[in-house]
Amino acid sequence: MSVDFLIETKNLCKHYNKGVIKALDDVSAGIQKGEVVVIIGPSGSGKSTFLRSLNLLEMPTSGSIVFEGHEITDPKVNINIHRQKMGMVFQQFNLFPHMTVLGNMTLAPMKLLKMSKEDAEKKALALLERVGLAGRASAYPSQLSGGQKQRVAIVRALCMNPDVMLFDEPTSALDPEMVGEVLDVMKNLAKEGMTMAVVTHEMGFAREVADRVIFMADGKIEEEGTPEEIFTNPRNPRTQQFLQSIL
Amino acid sequence: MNKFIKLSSIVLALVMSVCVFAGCSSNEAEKSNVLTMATSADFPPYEYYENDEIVGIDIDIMNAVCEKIGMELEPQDMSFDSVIGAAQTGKTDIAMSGITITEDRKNMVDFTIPYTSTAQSIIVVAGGEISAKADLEGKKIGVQINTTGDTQVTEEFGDDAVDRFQNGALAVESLKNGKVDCVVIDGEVAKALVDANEGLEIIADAYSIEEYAIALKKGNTELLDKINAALEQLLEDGTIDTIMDKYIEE
Amino acid sequence: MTFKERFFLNFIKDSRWHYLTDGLLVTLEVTFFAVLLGILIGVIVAAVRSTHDKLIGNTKSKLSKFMLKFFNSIANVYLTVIRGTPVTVQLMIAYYIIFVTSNNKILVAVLAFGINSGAYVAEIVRSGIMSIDEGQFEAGRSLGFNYVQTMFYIVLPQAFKNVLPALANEFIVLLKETSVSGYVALQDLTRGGDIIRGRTYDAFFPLLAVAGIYLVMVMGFTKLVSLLERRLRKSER
Repeated sequence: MSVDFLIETKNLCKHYNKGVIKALDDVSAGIQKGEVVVIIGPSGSGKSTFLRSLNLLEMPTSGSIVFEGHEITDPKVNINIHRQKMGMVFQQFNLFPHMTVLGNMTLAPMKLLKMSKEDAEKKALALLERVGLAGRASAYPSQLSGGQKQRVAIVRALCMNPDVMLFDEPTSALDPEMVGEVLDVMKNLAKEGMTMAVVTHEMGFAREVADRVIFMADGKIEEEGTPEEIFTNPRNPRTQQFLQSIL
Repeated sequence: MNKFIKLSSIVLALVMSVCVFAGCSSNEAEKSNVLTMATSADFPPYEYYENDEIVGIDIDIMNAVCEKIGMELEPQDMSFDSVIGAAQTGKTDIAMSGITITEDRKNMVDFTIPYTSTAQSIIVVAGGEISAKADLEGKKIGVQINTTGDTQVTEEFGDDAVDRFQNGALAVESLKNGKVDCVVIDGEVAKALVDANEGLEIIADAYSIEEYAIALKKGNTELLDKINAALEQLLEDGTIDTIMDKYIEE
Repeated sequence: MTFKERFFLNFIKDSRWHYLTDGLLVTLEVTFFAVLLGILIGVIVAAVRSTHDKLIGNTKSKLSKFMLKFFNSIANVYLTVIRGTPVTVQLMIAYYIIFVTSNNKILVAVLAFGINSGAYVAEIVRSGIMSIDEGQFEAGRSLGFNYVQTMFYIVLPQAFKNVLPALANEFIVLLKETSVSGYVALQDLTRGGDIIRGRTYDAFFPLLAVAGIYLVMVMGFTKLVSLLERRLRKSER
């Protein structure tokens, strides 16, 4: 059964303290092009570590990651080239506070893709328009609400025309009333066919948008399947226990 | 907490002020028989350190003077450019540090009779192109800052010709490194420096001849007269010659 | 002597004010170039040290690990030696021992003060880099910037803003530290005052004039820095 994955991990391990702590324990998984994969699990399950190793923000101890046919875990590979194709959205937004919204969005396209200032700004403004922030282009991050910040962070990543978007708990730092506006942006993105890997506690989002749900615990993938399978008929007792505790 | 800080600062202030007053009164008490002397103890053989003690020609002469006038000498080391100011303001009773009598200085302090005279010598690298005073034109001349050599050379050759060093040793070091072409400095110091540094010599021409004397605060005639009387005796009976001979071997 | 006479004696007679103006130029020249050199050295050393701290745990290649450790230990030796010895001694060592043949006193002073200041700037800049949230760094890397680009475009501009007061302080200290230039026969502002003092035997006027000139320079510089700070802070409104 050979599936063509956009990004695939094989036997990924991340050990601390010489193997005493196993944040990732032999994780093999893949994401197909156009697929939305939601990763859930209790805190400390390794789901964030897994997501962050996909673009090597966490350096795995062993195992391999293949992205678009390149084994990016090979030390000889220039990871910076591949990271341009993997957009990432963080829990804490991580907007650059010393730049305006427009500056945040045009920096990487201009410096890395050698786009002209006009082109980069045009693209940025179009994206801002789509997430309903057209009027805030010249604002500084400190002048935005949490939800606005996260929407800017998403379109900042989109400015690089990524092939996959990685979301690391994108709504966990938001006030409840702002969660919806960010999830809406993500839903639209999914509808447009963006390949996405999302670590989240928003089970509603997972149920509605995910093509596949991965449940992780103790650094391992315990169960994966369609949202139907995971949420309605979880087979693994750990999954059942987790879902009971949060629903 | 706040109370503690307040209390401790009051205590601290009290302790400090007690110290200050105690310091003053003890100075006052000793003043009668102690004679304080401002000197720059980096000027061998006139004044320099030997085993943590300031010694030299000036110290020996002044000790002899003190013996005659029934006082006890207390030398205070400071940089040469502060020495005359110390006497002028009365911070010390006298200043004695190989000080040459000049008209400018006479405006600021009173001088005793000269106790010796010395040449300002010219030190050069042996075998170099400077062999007479006339050769100094257009050369870089090293001096010790604010010494007579400094003043005289600056007057004659202008500021740009002079490199002013903290002391003679640094000036001579620069002469050896080729950073200056010669050093103009008091004769006895020049001898000591040439002895200590190979490859240097004093040229036969002296830069100038000058007289050393002791400086006192203007108007302190009582002490001035006492010291002058003592110096006259010491010059007469050969004591000063003996002291000079002890430090300077021809 | 009256106040007027003393003023005349100290500053007007024999054009003695020239010692102050010429000295001021030397002080400004030495300080300006020493500041530039200090920033250059400081940023490089800070980059070496923080790169070591940030990357040592995430590097697999033996060679890169060795290089990180090698340059980090050189930087540490530099910091220890420079911060462990007085600048006056360093200046004299530079003039009388290291640059024995150089007659360019200004250059030697610039090197000595610049190398000295670099050590303090390095630690200031490093503290600035460390004060920037790791997430900023990750955001930069995740967009595809390499380490140096991330530092340059994202971390350093923010770090600079955070450390500006400390840097300004260091430069004020440096300006005043150049007052020991006289030890290498360089006639800076302080030495200019010393020379006047040596000619007139008046401590009052030359010292106060010198102090006043330093004070005015520092006040002007402080004003400039606070203007710059205000400009940089506009993103925090």
